[in-house]
Amino acid sequence: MDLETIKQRVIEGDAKGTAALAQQALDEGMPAQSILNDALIPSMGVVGELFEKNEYFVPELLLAARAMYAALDLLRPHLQAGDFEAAGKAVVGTVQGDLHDIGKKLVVIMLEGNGFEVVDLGNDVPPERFVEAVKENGSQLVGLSALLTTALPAMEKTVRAIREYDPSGKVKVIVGGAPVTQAFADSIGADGFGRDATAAVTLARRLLGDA
Amino acid sequence: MPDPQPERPVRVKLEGIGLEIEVKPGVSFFEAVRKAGLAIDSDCVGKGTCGQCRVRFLEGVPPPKAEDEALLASQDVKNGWRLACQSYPTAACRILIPQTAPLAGRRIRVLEAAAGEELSRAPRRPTGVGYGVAIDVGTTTVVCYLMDLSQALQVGVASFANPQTAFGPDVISRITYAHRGARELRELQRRLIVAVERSLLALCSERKIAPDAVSAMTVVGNMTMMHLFRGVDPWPLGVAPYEPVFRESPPLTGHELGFRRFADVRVQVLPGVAGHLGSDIVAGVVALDLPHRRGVSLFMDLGTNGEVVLCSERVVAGASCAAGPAFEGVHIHSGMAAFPGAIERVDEEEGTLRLDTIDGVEPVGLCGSGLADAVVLLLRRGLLLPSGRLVAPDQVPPDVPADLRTRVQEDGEGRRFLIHKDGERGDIILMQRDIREVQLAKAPMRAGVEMLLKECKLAAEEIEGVYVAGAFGSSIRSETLLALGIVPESVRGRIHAVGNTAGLGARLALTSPKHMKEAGRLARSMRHVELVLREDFRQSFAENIPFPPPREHD
Repeated sequence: MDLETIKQRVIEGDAKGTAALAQQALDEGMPAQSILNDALIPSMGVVGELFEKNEYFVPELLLAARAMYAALDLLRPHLQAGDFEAAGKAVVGTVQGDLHDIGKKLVVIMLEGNGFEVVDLGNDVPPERFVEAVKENGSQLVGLSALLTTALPAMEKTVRAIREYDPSGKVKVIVGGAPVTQAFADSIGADGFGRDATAAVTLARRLLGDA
Repeated sequence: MPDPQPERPVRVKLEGIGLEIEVKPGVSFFEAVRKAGLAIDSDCVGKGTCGQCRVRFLEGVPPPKAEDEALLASQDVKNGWRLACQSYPTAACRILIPQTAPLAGRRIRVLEAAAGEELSRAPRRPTGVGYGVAIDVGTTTVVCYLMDLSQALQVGVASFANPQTAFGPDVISRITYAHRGARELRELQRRLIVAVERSLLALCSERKIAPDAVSAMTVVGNMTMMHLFRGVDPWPLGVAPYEPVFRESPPLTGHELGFRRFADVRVQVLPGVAGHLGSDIVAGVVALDLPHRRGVSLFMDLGTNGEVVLCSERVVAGASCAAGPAFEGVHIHSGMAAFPGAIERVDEEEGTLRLDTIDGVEPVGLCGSGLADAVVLLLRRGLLLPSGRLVAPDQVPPDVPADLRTRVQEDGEGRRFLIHKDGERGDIILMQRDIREVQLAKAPMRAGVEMLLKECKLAAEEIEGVYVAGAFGSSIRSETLLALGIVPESVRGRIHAVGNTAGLGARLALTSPKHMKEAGRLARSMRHVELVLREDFRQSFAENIPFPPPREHD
């Protein structure tokens, strides 16, 4: 099985095709690890680039993600612990008071597509829930999202709660969403601001020292 | 380093708005415009960090600052673009503001044809003595109607831009400002009441009516406007689960609200439904008498916020969609509000573009309807794929006329379509990312319609009439609504622009107890569908981001 073909199917957003090819590759004895590392993850990298160039938009990104997850579901039972070293462990959620999560979902997809292990806390997430999740999962990265200006105070509170739990600043906090700017991110002491889902990935990599 | 400051104020001409302002020494252009009652888009509110407040100097260009160089493209800086918040004009100049939230001088479009017809059906028996006023408080525009109560007759109308616009163009920014403290909340209420009072006094004086003769007032608006009119902190509307503090208001006196010359007037704020579905929507449905019409009807209010109501004989359900501000010209490269000079129509004529501007003057930018027209034209010509991707210059279909072909361009910043070439003021262009903004603005509206159909267990084919209200709704063509996919193809031929139905409902409630009662009944019985809580809304939103494929014979 040609890994390049699998990669192409993901980029085209062909979930059925991707799953069929991934299954065929497994049947032919290809290690699940190489399908993941040499086809799925690079394909989402390409999707990210297309998104950044404005060639792909939300629907194409969602379709590609669906294709990636379809294959990933087949691979999971074959992946051993240690087969796969995550690029990092992240917790992502929309902050308290905000129920909008389409933008956050894109960030989760792009992080997972780039090899991060992500816990998605959903939306309207209170600060203490973020802290608990960091504790439980040993996450090095927290991603906070907000669509409404009215949710910005909650974003600030959440950053504060994480800093109180981890005064050393080992846990990196990145923020994003329509009303968020670099200036706001700086003012609340976040470690970084991402304009969109692909920017979030670049930022996450840089902050976790894997540029 | 501070600028060398002039001793006297300098005069600055605002191109396209037809307004000249005075800027005092040491005052930034950004502040000066705000003081003049206009607002410039800015996330950082004048700190020089967000880069949104870019304006173009057509004459008297000041030297660029470090902030200009950092946040603007070097080509733009060369062409006279500067950050308004970093510009301290020192000599007379002429400036173009691409995106303003207007407070003054805005051409306000209120279609009255449908209104007159509907009003004639209202009972003509006297409902009171003296005069009454109906106020439609829009996020952007406020309209005041003066009515002779003894004849249910309209004697005057006045409209002005909502003075709260200086604190933000949309309801969320007003909610944020109002929540800062009691002073800010009161300031928002005060500005609105003072402006309404001033407008009413002018109307009375024009019609030679003593202010004392005004005895009753009805008020409609979206939920946030209802709260701010009464001076109630609307914060709960801004955070999950987005519910209002009140839905129904007790009768008030003008005095309680801060009116001076209208202190004894009885004021009734009409009831809203829930969430962001306010009394403007209730009034609209009452005005069109939708629950009593045969068959299924769809009511859409396309303004700064989009609201949709689906109505059949057995059920009325409504939803509010955060539609995004693209159709107000915000976040669009060459976008602008509906000022004179805004391109409001784009058509293809003899192989080239025909542009119609408001007041027929030289084009300055694109307002919502022009933006929508341009997108539809590109779709039809195959220059824009249904996915929302502009084609590359070398992929233009062979049947596209030469002039249109040359307008398809691409450079390092991406693909674009040239709408209007203007060496002096700068080209008016449609960028790839502008089209993405349009997609994000139109998808939630259609998804809202789909959710209501689902909630009411109705099919799109069952909709017998679509009634489109609101400022943008009145200027957009029904063909455009179909081509963008805002409404389903099955309603073709059944779309009606109905103008300002909120104002109409407010007048009906003022002059007829029957309609006032109907508004109360409807507000209590309408089912509110909260879209953001639904997983299927998110899915429908994503599905509706692409445009429908263009029709063969178009």
